[in-house]
Amino acid sequence: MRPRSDPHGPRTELVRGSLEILILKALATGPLHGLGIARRVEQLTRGTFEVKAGSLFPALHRLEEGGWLDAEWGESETRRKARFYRLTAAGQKRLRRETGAWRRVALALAQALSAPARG
Amino acid sequence: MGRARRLTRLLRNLFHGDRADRELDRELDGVLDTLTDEGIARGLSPDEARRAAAIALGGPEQVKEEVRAVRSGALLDAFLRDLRYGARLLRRSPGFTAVAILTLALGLGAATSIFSVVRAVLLSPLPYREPDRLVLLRQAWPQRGLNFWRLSQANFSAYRDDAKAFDALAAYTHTGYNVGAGGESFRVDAAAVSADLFATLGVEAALGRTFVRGEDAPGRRLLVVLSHGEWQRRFGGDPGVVGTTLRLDGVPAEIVGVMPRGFTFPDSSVGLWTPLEIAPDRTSPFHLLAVARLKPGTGPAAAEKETTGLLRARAAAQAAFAGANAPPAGGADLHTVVRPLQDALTASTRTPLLLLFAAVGLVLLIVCANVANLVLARAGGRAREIATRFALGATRGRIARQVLTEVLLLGVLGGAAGSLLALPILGLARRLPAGFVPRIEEVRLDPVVFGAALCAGALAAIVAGLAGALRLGRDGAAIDRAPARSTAAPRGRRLNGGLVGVQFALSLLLLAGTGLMLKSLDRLLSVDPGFETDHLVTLNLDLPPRQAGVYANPFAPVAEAETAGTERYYSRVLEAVRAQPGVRNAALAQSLPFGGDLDADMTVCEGREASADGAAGSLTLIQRTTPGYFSTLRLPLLRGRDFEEHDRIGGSPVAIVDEALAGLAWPGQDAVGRRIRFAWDDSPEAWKTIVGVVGPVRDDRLDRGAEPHLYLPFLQQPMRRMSLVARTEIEPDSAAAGIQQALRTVDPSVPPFALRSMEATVRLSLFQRRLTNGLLGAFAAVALLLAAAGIYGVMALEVSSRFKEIAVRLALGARPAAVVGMVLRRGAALAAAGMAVGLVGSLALMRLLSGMLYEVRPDDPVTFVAVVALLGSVAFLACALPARRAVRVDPIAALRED
Repeated sequence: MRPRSDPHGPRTELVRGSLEILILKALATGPLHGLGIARRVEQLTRGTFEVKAGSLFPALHRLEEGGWLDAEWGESETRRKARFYRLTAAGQKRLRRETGAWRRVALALAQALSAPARG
Repeated sequence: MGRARRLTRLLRNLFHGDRADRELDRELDGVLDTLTDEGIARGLSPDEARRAAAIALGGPEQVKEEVRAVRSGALLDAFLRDLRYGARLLRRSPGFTAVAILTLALGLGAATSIFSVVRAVLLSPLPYREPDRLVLLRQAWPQRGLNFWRLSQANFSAYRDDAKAFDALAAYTHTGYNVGAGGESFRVDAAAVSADLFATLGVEAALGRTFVRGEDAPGRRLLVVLSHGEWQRRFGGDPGVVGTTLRLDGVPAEIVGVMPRGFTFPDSSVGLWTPLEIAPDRTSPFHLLAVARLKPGTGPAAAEKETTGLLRARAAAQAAFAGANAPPAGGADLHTVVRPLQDALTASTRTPLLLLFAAVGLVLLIVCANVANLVLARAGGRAREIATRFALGATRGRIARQVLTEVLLLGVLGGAAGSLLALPILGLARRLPAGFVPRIEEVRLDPVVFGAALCAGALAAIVAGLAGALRLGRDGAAIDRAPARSTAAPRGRRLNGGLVGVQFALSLLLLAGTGLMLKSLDRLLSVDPGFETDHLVTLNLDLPPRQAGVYANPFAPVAEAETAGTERYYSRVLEAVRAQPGVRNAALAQSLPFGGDLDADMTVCEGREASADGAAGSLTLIQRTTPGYFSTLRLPLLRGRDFEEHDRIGGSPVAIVDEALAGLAWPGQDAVGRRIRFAWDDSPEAWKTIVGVVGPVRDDRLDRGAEPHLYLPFLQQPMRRMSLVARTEIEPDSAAAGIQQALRTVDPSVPPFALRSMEATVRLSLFQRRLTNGLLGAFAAVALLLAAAGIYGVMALEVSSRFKEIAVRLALGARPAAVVGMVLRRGAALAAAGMAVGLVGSLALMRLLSGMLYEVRPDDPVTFVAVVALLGSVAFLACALPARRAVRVDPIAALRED
């Protein structure tokens, strides 16, 4: 996943970790399949992030292995076989915890970056 | 996530990785289908929609690879996948796989076998308590030629009672008993030991007890401790034997204990132990060795210093303490030798074993070079596959890792196969005659050796594969641009050539060493022992003393009361054996030629009483023989006469000397009529008149020169233990049964032992050398084979990769001979470069062998020329085949290819 506006922008740990919380957020409203998650993330970020399959599926896998997501086979809107992911209790807890943390980080960053430059 | 859950995931991923992969496949297929559906809905054609969907998804393989990478146990998983892939590849090219595994198995099988023996014999601690504190104590007096000199009971008592360096000191000597009662009896090798031997070694009896202090005092009852093996063999492992009585040489002896399985001392031939009578005032004979436990913190050197001081002080006060008739002069080099027990017990095999270990190391290196060449050659053939994988996005490291996994698999398989090969070899090794390789019965393929073999296999494979893996990594990208077969030789051929050079250098080293050793053996075999060794049967007899004693030295003269009986027994033996059909003649001697236990003593020759150092006499080998000994052996009588029946007790003392002794004492003069005596007996009646001179013999060891011998008549000093020599008209082996039968009729309670032909005895005396040479020869043959295979492989590859060039040359009118010459020149250059390096190395290293060579210089030009010629012609043959193939190239077909 990378910011769409700047394809050569730095990919920091922060940004990489943000995909996981975005996936958790996307699933907060209900189960989705992989493609659905990607689209929901794009929608949630108003198109700032484009989620590639190459980063989405490893992230999904990691979250599932960690026990934050559960997955089961179902049928998509177009009647195709698809794997549907949903939050587990642990996933919901993590989403709540990290949302708070992200808010504080985002606030601190915004304040820091908007402070007048000196020197 | 709980630890348990993580573990289940890990296990599931490892064992059901395929299922996880399949699920991912289906999921990605679903995404692809959905995207395609959407494309069609937007108005694209199905094909266009599918393409667009694939592009949007990105490469499915890459996605899968990345998902796998985050899975639990991803690294292990990748390794297992590589392993499966490697196994598949290996199965797909069975020829390569078989050759590589066989090559590795050959090298590792040999290495494992030798390492097992080295480990059991030289490295693993002796099976006694705190074995690193145990030492062997003996004496030496180099000035008198006594380099390996045993202890008298007086010497031993002095060290035991006065030396501060030891916690405990025990004496022992090899002996043997006629065991049984009444009718049949059998011979058992034994050791007579002082009572605290077992305590000194720190080993308890498995059943009953060992000896306790005081049981070695003179005049005590005879007791016996059995070895585990003897207990099993003779008593079926019956625990009730303790407390029962056995007859040793007709004397009742109570069995007090049985030692645990695996306990041997001093070697595995010993089946029972009896107390050794120790009388502190007995200054002769010198027939004991001592084993001691050093005090903690005391080294062998300190113990040697202290005991040497004791020895010199006592010898100065009492000359007999050092076995002399006069105290040793001030600067006497009389001293004790204290060495770690393990070194002392294994000294005879250390050098040959280390030599074999070095040789097998060379073989292993050659094997590595060969496998590396195989891997490299295969890499050439796989260039396209590798290039394809690069194009599909595999990284260089990934491919190198995969190639390494593959060779690792080869190495481990080779190591396992090598261990399987080692099993029967070690089985054979354990069946070697007892006493030739100490501790050989302890040799086994234990987990450590097996693990070492697998590790060596893996290491060998990695060393072999590293070059290949690196080259693949480097060349991979370029290979897809270059056609596999071009007129230009690919890079890396130089590496193949270098490896072949290494093989030739190492092979030359091995062949040169083997050549020198074989030539030594050949020289030894052509040594004339001084008598005719064919058609001779030999055996030992030990007539027990009629008086019950704890221990009587079998080599000591018979007590006066028993001389008549001893004489009578042996004259009946000779009579019975001579009467056997097929027996031409028979005689007795104190010990057998090449039997390894010749008696030696200091003698003084008349007119040469004073030697340079003022000490009396010189060391001489002593043989007591019956009349007819020389004619039976066909040992030429040069002057005078043989002993006769009238040379017996009461008659004037007579002696026969051999040419070696006569030449030393009376050079250029006739020895007959001169007189000789033992140094320790300076009474006037001690002089023996020489009545004959016989030819020199080498009956000690073939690789020693002919040493001076003094022959004395058995009839003037009968011995208990004698050896019989019979010259037969028929094959010695077929005469043996009749001789045995004849001896049984004389006295069934005296069993003959060590019955064999003289030729077998001579062979046995060279056994260790033959064994070493046989193994060296096998290693050298393997090296030669591998070197030939190596150069053949490289030249075949060279020719096939230069097919087009050769085709063009032939099409342009090159003569076939010129093409053959071209190929041969390349091969010759490789082989010659390797051999030149090997030659320089050999000349430097063969000097290490000189201690094992007999009448061959370490730089023996004949050997070196032969080895170079052999290796050269093998190289020529190995190159000639590819060269012939080169000129058979059909230019049209070759140029049409690709």
